[in-house]
Amino acid sequence: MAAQTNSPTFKLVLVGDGGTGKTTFVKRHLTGEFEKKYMATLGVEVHPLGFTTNFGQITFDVWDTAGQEKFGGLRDGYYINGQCGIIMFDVTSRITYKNVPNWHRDLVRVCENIPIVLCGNKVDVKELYDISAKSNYNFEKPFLWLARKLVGNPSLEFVAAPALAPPTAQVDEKLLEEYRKEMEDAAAMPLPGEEEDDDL
Amino acid sequence: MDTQIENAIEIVWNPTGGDPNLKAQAFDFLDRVRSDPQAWQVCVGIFTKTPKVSEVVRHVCLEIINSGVHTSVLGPQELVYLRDALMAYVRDSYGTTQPGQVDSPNLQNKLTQTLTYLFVALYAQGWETFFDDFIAITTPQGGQSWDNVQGVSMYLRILGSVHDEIADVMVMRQGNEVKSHTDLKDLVRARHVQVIAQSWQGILARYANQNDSIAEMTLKIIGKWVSWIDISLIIGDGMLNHIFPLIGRTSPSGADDKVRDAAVDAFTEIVGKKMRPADKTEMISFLNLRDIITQLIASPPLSDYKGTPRYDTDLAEAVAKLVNTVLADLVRVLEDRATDDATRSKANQLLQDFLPLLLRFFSDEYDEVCSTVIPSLTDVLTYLRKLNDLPSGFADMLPPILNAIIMKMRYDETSSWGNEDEQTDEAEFQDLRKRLQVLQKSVAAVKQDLYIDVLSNLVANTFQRLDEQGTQLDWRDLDLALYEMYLFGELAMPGQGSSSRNQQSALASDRLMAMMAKMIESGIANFPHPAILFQYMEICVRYCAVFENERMTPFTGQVLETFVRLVHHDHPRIRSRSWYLFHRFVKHLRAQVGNVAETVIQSIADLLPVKAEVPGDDADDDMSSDELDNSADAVFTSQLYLYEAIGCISSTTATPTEKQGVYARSVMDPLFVDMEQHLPRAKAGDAQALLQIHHIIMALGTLAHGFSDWTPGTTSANQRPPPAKELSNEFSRAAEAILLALSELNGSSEIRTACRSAFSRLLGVLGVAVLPQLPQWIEGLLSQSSSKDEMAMFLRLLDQVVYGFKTEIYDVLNLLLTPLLQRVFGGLREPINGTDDEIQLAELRREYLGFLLAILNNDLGSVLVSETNQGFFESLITSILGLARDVDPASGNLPVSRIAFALLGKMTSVWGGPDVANISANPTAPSGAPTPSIPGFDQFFIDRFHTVCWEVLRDPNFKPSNDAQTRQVLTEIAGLEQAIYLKTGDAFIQHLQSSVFPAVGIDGTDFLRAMTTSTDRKLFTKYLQELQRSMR
Repeated sequence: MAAQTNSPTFKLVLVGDGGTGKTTFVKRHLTGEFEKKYMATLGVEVHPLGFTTNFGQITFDVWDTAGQEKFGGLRDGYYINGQCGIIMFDVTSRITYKNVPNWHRDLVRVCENIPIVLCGNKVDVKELYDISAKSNYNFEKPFLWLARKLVGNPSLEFVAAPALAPPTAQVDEKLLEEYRKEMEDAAAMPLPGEEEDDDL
Repeated sequence: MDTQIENAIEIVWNPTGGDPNLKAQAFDFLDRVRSDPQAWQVCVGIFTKTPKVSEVVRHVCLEIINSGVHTSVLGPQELVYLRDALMAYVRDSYGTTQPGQVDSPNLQNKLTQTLTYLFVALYAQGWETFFDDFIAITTPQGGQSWDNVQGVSMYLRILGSVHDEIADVMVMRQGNEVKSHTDLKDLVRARHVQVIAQSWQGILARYANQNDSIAEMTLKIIGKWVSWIDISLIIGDGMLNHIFPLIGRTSPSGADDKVRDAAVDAFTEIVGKKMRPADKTEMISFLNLRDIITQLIASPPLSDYKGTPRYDTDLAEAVAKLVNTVLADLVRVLEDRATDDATRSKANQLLQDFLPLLLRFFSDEYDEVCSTVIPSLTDVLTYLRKLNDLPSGFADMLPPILNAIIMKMRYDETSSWGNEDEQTDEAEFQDLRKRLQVLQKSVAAVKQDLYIDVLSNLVANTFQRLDEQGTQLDWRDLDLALYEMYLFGELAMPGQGSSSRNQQSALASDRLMAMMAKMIESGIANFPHPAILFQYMEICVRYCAVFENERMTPFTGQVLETFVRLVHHDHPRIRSRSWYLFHRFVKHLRAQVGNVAETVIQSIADLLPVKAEVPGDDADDDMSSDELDNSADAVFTSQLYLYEAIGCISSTTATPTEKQGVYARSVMDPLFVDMEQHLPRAKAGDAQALLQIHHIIMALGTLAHGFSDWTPGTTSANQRPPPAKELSNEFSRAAEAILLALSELNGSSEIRTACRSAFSRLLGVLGVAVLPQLPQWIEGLLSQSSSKDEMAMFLRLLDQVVYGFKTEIYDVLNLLLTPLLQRVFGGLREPINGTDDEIQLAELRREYLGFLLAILNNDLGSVLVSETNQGFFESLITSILGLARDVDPASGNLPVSRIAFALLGKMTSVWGGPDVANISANPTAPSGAPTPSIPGFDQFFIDRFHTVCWEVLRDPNFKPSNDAQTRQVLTEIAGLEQAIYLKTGDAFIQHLQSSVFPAVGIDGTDFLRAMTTSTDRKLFTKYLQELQRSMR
């Protein structure tokens, strides 16, 4: 299912700290992969992602600003004419969450009054797969919400599931909690002689 | 340079097409511009020049200027120059009422950002008139205050941006920014806040009903600033008289009104401002919020248009947020111990007054609106839970709360179940149900008798209506009742509910039984809607303990019949879930279901044939287990539950032993035939045949597991006894069949995986009968192509066998050990390629050492030094010492080293003979000569084991003070040294004194004291750490 050129198209700005899985997130939607316009050296990738809704076809031109968080390129210049946004953070990394308000402020400065979705992604842990069966639903949900807001109709639905790549690795929360506890226990372990100069 | 910058920006901006090389050049060029300290001046020129250049060029020019200001590239004079240039531009473009001059909103905001940075740099000194300058441009030449709408808009943007920069508590700030922003807020409060608050009144007076966008901006600014300025500037009559009319405003068309929503939001911010309990309570009454909200609820957008597309969900959410804030704050006042009595009683009254408003939004048709008030409802219930005696006013609040929760739990009229297109809605609804469930539990915790009554009535009434209306009854009502039943049962289960309410738990348990009896008798197992069947099965399984009660046991047969029917259901979701639930049900109720295996096996025989399908290239390789996953693989996974269920039902207490064997054979025989048929093709490399055999092996193993979950060596009373002879004979045939397949196909890792799984499951039905086959298992499971990963898993499985059979397996183990360890050594020696390999190697090392430790721990240590394995002993010890020795933190081997030292310690204790020394607070001198179980081992410990300890201690990479893992290695070293001392006594002391102490340069007194007196190993460890540091 290719994104049709004559369908309503919206510019979607995807922002968030580096390493929160923005690119991976977009690439899960293989539909637009063939028409990907790639600007590797220039730091922004634009992916047209198509969805079929009960009101017809809709396309998001996703501006994936990966790698451009801190330096180079046009910085927030890329946000110009954005019509909707996704702010991504990593649920396993507190700092990426704390930076969300900064991303939000920067985004609404350039794009006033656009609908914005906050997405918590889970990265970093491999080989653990969420078996809650909601991966696809989670992937579509931000786009669905944005589409409803942009079209101004809360009864908009996606009618055909797009082809999806395998979901990114998901964290088993319980296991993660165990890991975290282990780490804390190890960190809390008294280590006498820490003042020792080990630079010998 | 102007043109170059402009061109570069345009080239980089264009996301499609163009020459990649040119783009790369432009990109690099911009990077250089950014680091040029003079670039900002050029950029100011580009930004302000006429005719205006393109949006993106002007935007990026401001961005480059911003980096200059923000990173303090500009000196004080340059900042003033920049200010003057930009203010000249602002006056020019925004100081006039001539249209056509102003920039797009995003450029205005970008410009505002630059000006805000200048404010931060200069407001304290150099630009004290910052706010006055912007207020000045709002008055056009010869006009009235605020007449210049463009100027007002720019001024409001400035106020918003200043707040976001210095006062937004959500934004992260770096080090010294925190202080400088706090100082700036103090300065603004001292110098300008009065003027600014006045300006809001002026602007609202001028524009409230003239210009919605200005009015909306003003209200948003008030909402922002209120958090850090004096509240009296806001809640005076002057200001409120401008805001109230906006809240109550109704648009004739009934269209969304952003100004009204913003006014409500501003109120939410005002109410939410942090203040003392008494002030907060006072303010909530003073603002007359209850009336305002009541009027809003009665206004057409929230009342007349309910249930129509004109219903204003934005307004509903805004008001819900206001209500949520009020209630959360009231609870906070009540929970504050410092709150005085008068305030408390006022807050109590307010809480009761506001609760109906909260329930109005909680019950809203739109789940987003409902979700908005869930936090404060949670707060209210948590608060009530903490009260010892529930005052009557509060007790009366609970029934409406509970009813509202229950009503929200019902599927709404437009929703459906199991529809592929509506998975999103359904998942969202299940999410909401979970949150509601938490609230409902809170109600139960506050007033359990109410909870029991309300839920019992709901369920009883629904069954009553089912009797009357039959299948005419809306499935949503029935689903709700069953869902509530599912939740209700939690209270009745042991260990649930409050322990002080045991009596009520008994009551709940009684009610649950009545409900379940009614449910089974009602015939809903025949209801046409699949959701109901789903719930029915889930309830029967979750509360299957109920059937153990003699009142309920008679129902077991009927439920079983239903299951046997539902496992054939044509809805795929029901069918696959029912296979799992059926298995859970019979597994739990083995004692109750009786001797029904024959009937059950006959009834579900049609579902048993295994049919492997090799996934094609187009297969859905989504790793998530989609609920609607109908792939052959998913079906087979569920099918395994049927095999386990048959195992369970064929081995009930009521089934005669000889019959059990017969049933097992009746299920296995077709599998054997099938396997025989597929084997030749599988050997020839046919993928489908190979997978078929994999499935058959899995099915056999799973069937065995159903018959018995006994594990050899277990001491738990909960487990079933070891298998009867008849049964283990029957399953020996299965083991033979599997071993045959394994010997033919052990080049396939899938087959080996299936066999490993079957092997561990067969242990329970084979018992000691497995021992003679052990060599074949090992031979088959460890193939030449076994990965390190696989070997590690296999060793773990052998740990289980060693533990289970202990000395019974001595002979087998004795024969197998050397060849087995040779295989493992092969794996340990394999070259390492990348991270995955490293991880697998570490895993194999751990399992290898763990296996040796298991042998020693289960009194099998003599196999390691038996005549058969003696020849291998030196290699074994060398490998262990090598693993102990590797303590470079970068190698990741530290956990392995720790196990290796522990293993050496264990060997010393096991083979060292009786202790010849002791460790205590007042140790006595060692007495007597060492008598190790193998002559010469005493010297061996000192020469080999002890030597490695000191090699490690002297290793410059070994830094126990640096990390916990290294420290754990040191602890094991301390233990090993002590173990050697216990077994060798004087000989050890002499060795230390003659060779170790002189080499280290200590007299050894402290060492010996620490070693011989540290009954707590930690103390000796600590000594060694000190010593080790002094050696550097």
